[in-house]
Amino acid sequence: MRTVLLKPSPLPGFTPALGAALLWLGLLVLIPLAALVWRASGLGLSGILAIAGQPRVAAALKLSFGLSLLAAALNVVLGGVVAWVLTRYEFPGRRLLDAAVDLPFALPTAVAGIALTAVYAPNGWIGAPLDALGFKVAFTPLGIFIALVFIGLPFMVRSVEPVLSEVEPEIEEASATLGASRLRTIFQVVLPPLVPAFLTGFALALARAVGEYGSVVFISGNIPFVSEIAPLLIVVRLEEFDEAGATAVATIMLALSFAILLIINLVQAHVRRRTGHD
Amino acid sequence: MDITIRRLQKTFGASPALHGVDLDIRSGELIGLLGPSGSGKTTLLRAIAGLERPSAGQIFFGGQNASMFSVQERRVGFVFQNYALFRHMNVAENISYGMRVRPRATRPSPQQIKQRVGELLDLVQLTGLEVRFPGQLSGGQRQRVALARALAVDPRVLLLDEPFGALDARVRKDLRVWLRDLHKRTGHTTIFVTHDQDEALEMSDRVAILNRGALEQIGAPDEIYNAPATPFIFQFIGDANRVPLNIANGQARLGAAKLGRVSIGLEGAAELFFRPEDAVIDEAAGLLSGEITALRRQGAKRRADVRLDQTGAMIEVDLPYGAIVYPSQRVGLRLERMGLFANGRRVSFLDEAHRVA
Repeated sequence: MRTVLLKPSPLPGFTPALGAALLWLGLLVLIPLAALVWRASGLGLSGILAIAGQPRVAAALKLSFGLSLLAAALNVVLGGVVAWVLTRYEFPGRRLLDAAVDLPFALPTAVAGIALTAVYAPNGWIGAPLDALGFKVAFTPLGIFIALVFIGLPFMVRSVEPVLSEVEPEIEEASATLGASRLRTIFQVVLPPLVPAFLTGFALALARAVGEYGSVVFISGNIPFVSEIAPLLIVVRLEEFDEAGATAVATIMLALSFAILLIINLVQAHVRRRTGHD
Repeated sequence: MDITIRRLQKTFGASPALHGVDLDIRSGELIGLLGPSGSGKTTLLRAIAGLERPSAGQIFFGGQNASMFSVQERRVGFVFQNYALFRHMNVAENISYGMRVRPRATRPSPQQIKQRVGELLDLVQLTGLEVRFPGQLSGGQRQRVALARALAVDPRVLLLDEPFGALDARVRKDLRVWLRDLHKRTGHTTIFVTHDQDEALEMSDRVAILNRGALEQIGAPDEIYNAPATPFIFQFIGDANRVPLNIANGQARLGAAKLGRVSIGLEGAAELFFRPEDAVIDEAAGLLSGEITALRRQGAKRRADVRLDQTGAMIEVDLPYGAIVYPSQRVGLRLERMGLFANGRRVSFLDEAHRVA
């Protein structure tokens, strides 16, 4: 068995390393998730689907996944620009800006949520002028969207930055000497090699946004059918002592998230093969 | 395409990278730009390509002022030192890029592009590698893909920045001969930058030598080697002995030995340069003499270190095959060729027979 699985390798410690990795993965990820699925399995597939079909649950799931996808998509653009600025230009305060990118990682999410709410509330700094223009941000899906963009940004920037800094400036010059315009150079020469990094950032930002709770509950207003996210619905169900309902919603989220991440990974593998990485 | 460069200057911040370079390149020539690092050779190449904007001066492409044209419009083939291939495109896509980005009106049809890519792959001997990605090629192959990509735009001038810099010695030697041959077949006006004198002398029709942002000499390889125009070139190309001497009353003197007469007015310290192979041990020589202090073998040559009696200067002398010499032997010396420089300029001897015998 060993000889079948294992190609001879000069690296020592394959067996203990794999063992430790599987142990941690099992204790920290697989066992809790298995317990979740096991609890939900009491309901049966039809029971879970019935709960998913409940209007309030369906609305929350749609809101959570829809906004998370949109936020991750916007972060592709925002994070891309921030990463570009941080790697390509030397300017006063660059280090400061670089450090600030990580703040959404470090801040307790509740603090971020309260801060965003204060700023975007109808009487806040940004909320007030927007309110005058007729845009309501806080306590609407738009507010949730802003919170999700906020917490997802560092994932995108940190995924793209190292790859972008390795792109040789010469390829842009080569493209120019071959007659390509600036715009064509960006879209045909600079961006394509970054696609795998963007996909990684997208997947991370999306995963974080789907599970985000702390920063959203303050700014969303949590109105069922309007601005209630799925993670909050799970907490609501638990508070109602509807453990089966909570487990069902959680299982559905788990399945959806897994499916989306799997698709992103497959796309990424395809892109890497396509560009001769493997 | 003739390339004419007039009083070209480039300043980065406070430090000048090029000051006032004049250079005339004839259509179809293969020119080597040679110089130590920091001499401005790459800056000059990039200025010709339009990748650097000169601070002053002009570049003409066959009579047209090139500064009117952007990089995109200049139609230069530029091969970068690290190749700068597009990693996400395969070999055929890399090579055809310059044709595919042309405006619709002048863009060749897909069939024409495919055919041209095939021809170029033949030319650079990479037929069959169309669908490989740069990551799957060796250094020498990448280099040739970069060259084919540059040739695909039918460039007015081909510019190569240290084309063999990143390759190992064996591949370098093969590619030199190959590139020289390719130039003969395609006839593109070609300028390449190198810091390797062997490469420049072996490949170029003419070598242009840059030092500290100024052009010191341009000429055929033999001319450069046999008649260096400046002390810098004498020492930069090949090996050279440098012996300080004195000029007084129109006479160049090495210690007490009289080397020859020079124009009146050149007085004071000067420098004598000669190559180890131009110093010959000759017992009949009366003017210069010295003592062998050490013997060495350097590849094909045998060399002696000699301390000159006249000034005490240490010089190197090549020994002919089979010469029987030994350390601490006293020898007479004759100089076959030499260069005398005063204030950095070459000075000629007035007496035609300026051989020291």
